[in-house]
Amino acid sequence: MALGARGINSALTTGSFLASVEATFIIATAAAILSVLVGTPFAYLLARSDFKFKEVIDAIIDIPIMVPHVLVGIMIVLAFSSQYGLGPFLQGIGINIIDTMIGAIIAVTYLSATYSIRVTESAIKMINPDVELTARTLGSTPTFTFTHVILPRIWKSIANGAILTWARAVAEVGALLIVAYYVYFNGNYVYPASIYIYVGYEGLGLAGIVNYSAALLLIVLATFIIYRFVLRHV
Amino acid sequence: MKVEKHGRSTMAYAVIIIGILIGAAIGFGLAYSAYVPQINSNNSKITALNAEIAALNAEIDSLNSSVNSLNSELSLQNSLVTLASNSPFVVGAAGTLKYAFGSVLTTFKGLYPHITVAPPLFEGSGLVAQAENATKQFSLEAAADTTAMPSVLFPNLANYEIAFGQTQMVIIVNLESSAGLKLYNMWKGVQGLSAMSTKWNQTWQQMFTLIALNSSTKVGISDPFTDPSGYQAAGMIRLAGLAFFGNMSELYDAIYDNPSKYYMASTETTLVTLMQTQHLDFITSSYMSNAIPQTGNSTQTGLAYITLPNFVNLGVLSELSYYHQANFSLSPSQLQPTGPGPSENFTINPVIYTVTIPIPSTNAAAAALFIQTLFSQTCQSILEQNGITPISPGIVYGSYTSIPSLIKSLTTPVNATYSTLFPTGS
Repeated sequence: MALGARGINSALTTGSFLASVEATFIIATAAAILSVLVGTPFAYLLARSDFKFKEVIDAIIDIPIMVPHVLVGIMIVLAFSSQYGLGPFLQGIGINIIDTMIGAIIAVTYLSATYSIRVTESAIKMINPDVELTARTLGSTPTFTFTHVILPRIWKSIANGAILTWARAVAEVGALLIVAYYVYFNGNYVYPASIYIYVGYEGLGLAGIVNYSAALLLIVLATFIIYRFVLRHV
Repeated sequence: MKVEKHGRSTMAYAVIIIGILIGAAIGFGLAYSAYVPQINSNNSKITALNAEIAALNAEIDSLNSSVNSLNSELSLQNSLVTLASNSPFVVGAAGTLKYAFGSVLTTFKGLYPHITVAPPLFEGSGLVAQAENATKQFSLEAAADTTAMPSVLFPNLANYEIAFGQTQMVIIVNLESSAGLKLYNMWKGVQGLSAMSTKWNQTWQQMFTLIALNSSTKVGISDPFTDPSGYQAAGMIRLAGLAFFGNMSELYDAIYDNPSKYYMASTETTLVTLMQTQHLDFITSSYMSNAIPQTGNSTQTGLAYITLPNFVNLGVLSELSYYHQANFSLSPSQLQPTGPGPSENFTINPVIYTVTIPIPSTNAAAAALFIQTLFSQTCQSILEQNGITPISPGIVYGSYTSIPSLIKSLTTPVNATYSTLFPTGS
């Protein structure tokens, strides 16, 4: 940050860099929202239920933090490219996954959702199950119990999980190198910010890319600070 | 009377003695004259033999000198081997050297089993140079053009590079695409035509029309700003435009001004992997050095490569001035996706591989031994098998005095003929 501070202004006025950051922010935000929407029910299930093969589901959720992310990228290509898995079918109905925003979102969502799920699961486990049972005995439906008893107590944890997922998605490189080296965004082909930095390092070296690295760090840091500030005062 | 008798006896003796002497002289003379030729002949033979002995002595001296030289070289080599065994030997090289250097490293490991060879990095020449600049991790570095290392490493991290091999641009075709198969068949047909004939020119024109001007075909290229083959492919396309269409822009603009026409990767070796998933028909950023191993058995891989005319393939040193017509400037903003950085000027030279031992080399001794191995007969054959024409002796750009003594005899300083291959100010 200190080394790149002088060049931050220059980086922040570079159109290609800003386009990369914009695309990355959209990808990361979509991943965070999807993680919350899909991850919260998962987290509730893991926190409150005992079922067959629960350990298997637990392990699958933890895969993204166990394996190299390039491997996850390869898995996604094998599942969705035009040659393999669901790819031919999806392409037949006009949906392309590889090197698209959709593909990037799928990749980073899978890789980052673990954080959201685990944070939410821990928060739910801290609530005494008797509180839910009491609500149910008083006539609440499961949905009403969740939305009026559980959710008010865990929404901050969900928000924390979401920002962690978002941050992880912004930082993703390995899977994106395979799945979405660049994406079509706003009428142009654009590198995700992490790939932009990597390509810049290849072509310009340390001295040339430090400005953009510092700028990206500043943007992400500012986002975090604003988010935490809002969360604390809501 | 007694005196007379005595006198007559003395005279007789004298006559006899004189007669004997004369007879002896005559006999000696006769014998001498009979044997002089033989003696002369023998003398000549003796002289000749002496000369031969002198020559043999000189040869022995020379051989002794060679033996001494070899002994000192062997001693140097042995001390280098000992030194080289103390730390890992790390190679950073252009991606297209992956196959040739892989085999050379296998030979090297066989020759020097006590030297630990770390996993090499084969990436774009630009990335390898930048990695060395940032981390100083390599023992030896090699690039696929003559400018990558001087522009990034000279003068503090390296002060010479040795040109050791030359290759040429080719086009890899996807035989599983109809356009790729069509191009390949056209290329096979053009091989039987007389070069520069009307039919030959027309066929090449049709081929480049299929590659560049056909809107349904897709081309794989590597990033010109991170990989030499990227800008060399652009140069090749410009030369093809000049040669077959009368202008450099027609083919070049048709590809590079149309982001949906191409797929760009950071290195050309990854493009082959992506050929199927990205529906690429052709890869123009290819050298023969990676096309040969990557296309392999066409029936199995579904890939093949086509060679190009000498005046566009960047593979002939004598065509240097023709190639330079295609020099161009490019800004990252002119390509998609757009990366960071300023506009650059690209010089279209023949494709030359260079190698250097960085100043902070992590194992300079092993690097010198590796270069010596590279110039061995076995490894020169390996280079040829991988589509690289060896340059021997290696041509040195930069500080010739910095070349290690072990490999100096394998190299020669750059001369006027080759100086234009290297950055200006050599």
